[in-house]
This record gives sequence, structure tokens and C-alpha cells, in this order.
Amino acid sequence: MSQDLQARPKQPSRPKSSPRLNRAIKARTDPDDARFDQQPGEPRGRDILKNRYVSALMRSRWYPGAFQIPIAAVFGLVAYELLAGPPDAHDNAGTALMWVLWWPLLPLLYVLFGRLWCAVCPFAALSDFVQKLVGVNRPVPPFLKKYGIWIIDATFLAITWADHVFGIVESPWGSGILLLLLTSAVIVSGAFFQRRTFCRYLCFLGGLSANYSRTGMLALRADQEVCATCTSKAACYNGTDTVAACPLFSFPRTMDSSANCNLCANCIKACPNDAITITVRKPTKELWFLRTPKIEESFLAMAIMGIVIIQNVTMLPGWTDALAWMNRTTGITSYPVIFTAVFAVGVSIPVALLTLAAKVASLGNLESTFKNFARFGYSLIPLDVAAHLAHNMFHLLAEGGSVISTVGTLFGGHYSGSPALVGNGTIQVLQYTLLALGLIGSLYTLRAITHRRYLTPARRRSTILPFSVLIGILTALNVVMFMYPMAHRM
Amino acid sequence: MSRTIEQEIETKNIRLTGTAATWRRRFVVASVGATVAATAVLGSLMLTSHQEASAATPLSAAVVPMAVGSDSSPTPTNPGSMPADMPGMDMSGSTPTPDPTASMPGDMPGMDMSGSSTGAAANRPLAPVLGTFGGGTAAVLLTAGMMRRKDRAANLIKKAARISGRAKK
Repeated sequence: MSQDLQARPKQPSRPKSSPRLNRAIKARTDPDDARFDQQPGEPRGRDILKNRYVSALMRSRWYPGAFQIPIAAVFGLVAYELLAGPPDAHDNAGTALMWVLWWPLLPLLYVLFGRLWCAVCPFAALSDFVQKLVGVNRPVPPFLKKYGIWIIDATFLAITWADHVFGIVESPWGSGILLLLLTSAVIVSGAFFQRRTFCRYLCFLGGLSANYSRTGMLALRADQEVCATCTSKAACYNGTDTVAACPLFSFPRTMDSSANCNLCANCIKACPNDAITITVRKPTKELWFLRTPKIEESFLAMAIMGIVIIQNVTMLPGWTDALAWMNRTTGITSYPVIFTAVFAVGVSIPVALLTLAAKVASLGNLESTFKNFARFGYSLIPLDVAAHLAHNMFHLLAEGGSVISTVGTLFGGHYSGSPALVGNGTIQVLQYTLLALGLIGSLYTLRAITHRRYLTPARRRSTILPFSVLIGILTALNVVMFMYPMAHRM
Repeated sequence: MSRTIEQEIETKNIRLTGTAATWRRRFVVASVGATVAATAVLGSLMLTSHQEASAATPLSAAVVPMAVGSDSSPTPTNPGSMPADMPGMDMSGSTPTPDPTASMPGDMPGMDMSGSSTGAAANRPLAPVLGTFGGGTAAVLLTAGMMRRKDRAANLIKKAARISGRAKK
């Protein structure tokens, strides 16, 4: 029935005799394990579905379609502009709408509304349309379920690399080709596989949104007590005659994370018992109650941190000098070669630092480096979101005027004002405020995860210390980079 | 009861042998595929021709400055009376090109200071890209449509066999 339900955690095979065995035995007899299993889940906040307007909106048959249609129309305009509009990014409304308005606002949307964007995403609408038209509805291949997030990790890194080497953001044509490639992948996935396989297992943006929506302020959950008496054969998961199944393969009854919920409201419409709730919570709260960490999600968090660092570094005024220096020192003139090396180092830095912190912590908390990496990588997600937002804040506020001018030109208007919406000083204050919030969020999440996992103060201390240092280093790195003026995208 | 089963088998057999519904589906799938492909190809051709026309406009304007009855904006006919260095009045099509400094490798992004804008249009092969995209999409849609038809037929055969087995019992 439910793919999530069918996936039972496998018992690890027992090693014969080694220090690891001793450690495993030690961990298994550890009272913290039993205590951790008994910990209550995330407490529920106020159910906003009790508000009649929100309830009416979510239960309406026009939701989310009413939002999808105008967004798809704008998407069509963006695609047309990118492929057939002015060749210079500076004059192209598609580039402005996509990279100066939509992309910077996206992380903010995740923090405010969780993965809501995925419900109104035009690619999702396209996938549904193709599925309705010719969909074969094959089940998701097992390798996608197993390695989907790794594929997302690799795709995210590859697209960022390609952006710098081939020019995607600065080139409308490059952005247009990216959109066409994504559209092709969505069509293939929608034609052959069931539900929104692409969104759940392949979309690089979906991976990003899954990670970021854990910090989101909206959480959709089911009332366990009501679900225990349900006889509808998981209508919330499988759908009904009139309501589609959950597009992201999530079963509300067992759901303890917003990572794979796009608030499409299918389950709300399908549930015959009104057991679904949407609660408002504090940002990052879901991370405090982390139960089943996954190393690939921690890796993605670190990869995103690396990507933000790379993006910042390449926009600093010293980047050209650094390139020239590398050119003189190594004799390599090829930009792709130099950038690939810098990219590999830049992305590896946060991963290596987290591995190091996990190794140090493992000496004190008696859990493996692997487990430490997987569990405490999540504590960096708030800082991740903050750094990403701070970076994007620059593009939105320093270049936001270009959206008005290019779109205005498209419709015959004229805007001759400055592209900057606010001054550099204001942007920097906002960036540092965001970084401070991210730092506080990460430290608090670290503390919450540690306190829930470990009982003894010594284990808590030995865990908190190395990861706090890591959070501090990454914050300092971002603070230093935001001190310098960045290059504009347009 | 048996009457209902017979009716069901009959209905499904009719569907299997290819009735109006099946042909309608085939027609829809084929026409959607063909429409997507045709739109992509025609669209790309139109866009390319539009671009070529846009690129050719300054040249034709220079050759025929004041076409009779044209709605185009007025073009100065006596450039001799205007100072040659007046900003925005250089209509030769060339722009001053700064020389790249020795420290800047030529193939680095953002380092292209040649100032040429005609190259950008030439580097956007819309027709082949959109053609490939449209063709690929059409192929995927048609393949999926045929697979779905086969799946449905196989399912119906299974169901029919099951129902007829039950009826025999």
C-alpha cells in the first residue's frame, strides 16, 4: 500500500569481533537509546484549518489550480523571453524574473510556507497533465528510491558547476536550455512513472526545498487517534475517485517531517474523517525533534553551504585577481579547469569540516562518525538557509529594479531608475541580521538534538563543542564574504 | 448476476477489439504528439526568421533610409550636419572595443569585451534545439501512449479471464 510504510529499517548485520563491535554493544546497552525512542514527537501548534477561510481555500477544488494557472503563464513568458528575447541578460525580462525575483524569494517561501511552491510549480502541473494524457503509471524504480537524493545532490552540484563554466544565470539562452532540459525530464517522468516521481526523487530544487522546508513554519500532520479508527484504506495516500493521490508519496498518518509535503491539500480533501491538521510552528522546530537522520540529506545541506560559499567567492571583486594569480602560478589558462578545481575545494570544505567535527564528537559521544555526520548535519540547515537568503537578498535588493525595467519594457513601459531598491548599507545590515538568526537557529537546533539524544552532560558537551565550532567557522566565513561588495547578475 | 458478468465481458471484449473509444484515444495521442512536434518546428522556424529579420533591419534601414509609406521612426538623412562624435549618433554599427588586458584570459566568462552582439544571435540555434525538444517530447508521448494502451489491454484481458473463470465455476 504505502511505499513509506513498506520500507522497514533493516537490522544491521552484526560484526564478528572488533573495536566497532565493542562500541556497538556499548551503544546498544546505552540507556540513551531507550530514552531516545521514548521521546515524544514534535508538539502540535494551533490548527489553522479551523479557520474557515483557510479551510475553505484548502478544500476548494480550485486549489492549487487557481495559483498554478497564472504561475504557468508567467513561466511561459519567462521561457519565451529566455529563448527568444534579448540575448543580453541585462535586458532580458526572463533572466530578471527568474534569477533576480523568483530564485532569491524561493528560500524565503520555504521558511514561511514550507514546500508550498512545489504545489504550484508549473513543472508539477506539466507532469500531472502529461500523466493524465498518456501516463503509464509505472511504480518508482527501486534505485530511484534508494539513490534519489544522491542523484539530486549530484544534479545540484552539476548545475552550479555548469552555471559557472557554460554560463546559465548570466545567459538567457543558457537559462532557457536549462528550462528545456528540466521540462524534458518532467515530461519523461510524468509519462512513464506514477504521481510526481520527478518532484520527489529527481528535482534538484525539490531536494533543496525538502531540506529547507524542515525549517518551515507550516506543518501538515494527521491526528493519530482519528487515523487509528480510519476504515477508508488510506484515502489520504491513495486518493479517492474525485481526489488525486498524494503526489509526493507521503502518508500523513506516519509523517513526521514536512520535507515531502507540498501542502497540495489532496489529503485534506480525501480524508473522510477530517483528521488532517495544518499547524503553525516556530521556524526550524522540526529539526529539534529529528528522529531518523539520513546522511544524504546532511550531505546536501553541506553541499548547499559549499555552493553558497562558491557563489559568494566568485562574485567578490578579488575573484578576477585570484583567477589571474592562478593563471600566472599554474600556467593554466582554461577557466573551466581552474573553476572545477576551485569548485571541488569549495564544496569539499563544509563536507570535510563536518566530517572532522563528527569524528571529534564521536570520540566523546561514542557514536560513529557516520551517525554523527548524518544527525548533526541537520543542525546546519538553519545557517544554510540564512546564508542562502543573505546571498540572494543582495540580488533581490541590489538588482530588483531590473525586474521593473525589463518587464516594463516588455509591455511598452519605461523605467530609468536605479536597479538597486535599497542602499548597500541596508543590504549588509539585513544580511548580517539573517546570518545572526541562522547562527542562533543552528546553535539552538544543535542543542535540542543533542539534549534529546544524550542524557549525560559529558556526552552532550563533547557533541556540542565540535559542532558549535564548525557552525562558528562557517558563520565567520559568510560574515567575511558579505563584507565585500558583490558583482551583479544583470 | 451472470447476465452482468456477460455484459461486462462483452463490453471489455468490444474495447479490446478496437472500438471508437480506442481509436479516439489513439487519435488524441497521435494528434497531441504531432501538434507538439509541429508547434515546436514551426515556432522555431518563425522565431529564427523573426530574429533574422530583426538582425537585418539596421542594414535595410541604412540602404533605404526613408521607405515610402513606412511607419518606421524617422532616420536622419543628413548626417553631415551632425557632429560625428555625438553620443548615440554613430550608426555605423560598430562600437569602440576595449582591448583585453594581458592578465585576462580570453575564454573566461565575463571577459569577452569584443562588444559584438551579432554573435549572440548566431549562438542561439533555436530551430535545432526546439526541434529536438519537440521531437523528443512527441516521441516520449507517443511511446507512453502506446505503452498505456498495451497495459490497459493486458489488464482487461486478465480481468476478462478472471471474470469468465468465475462465471464457469
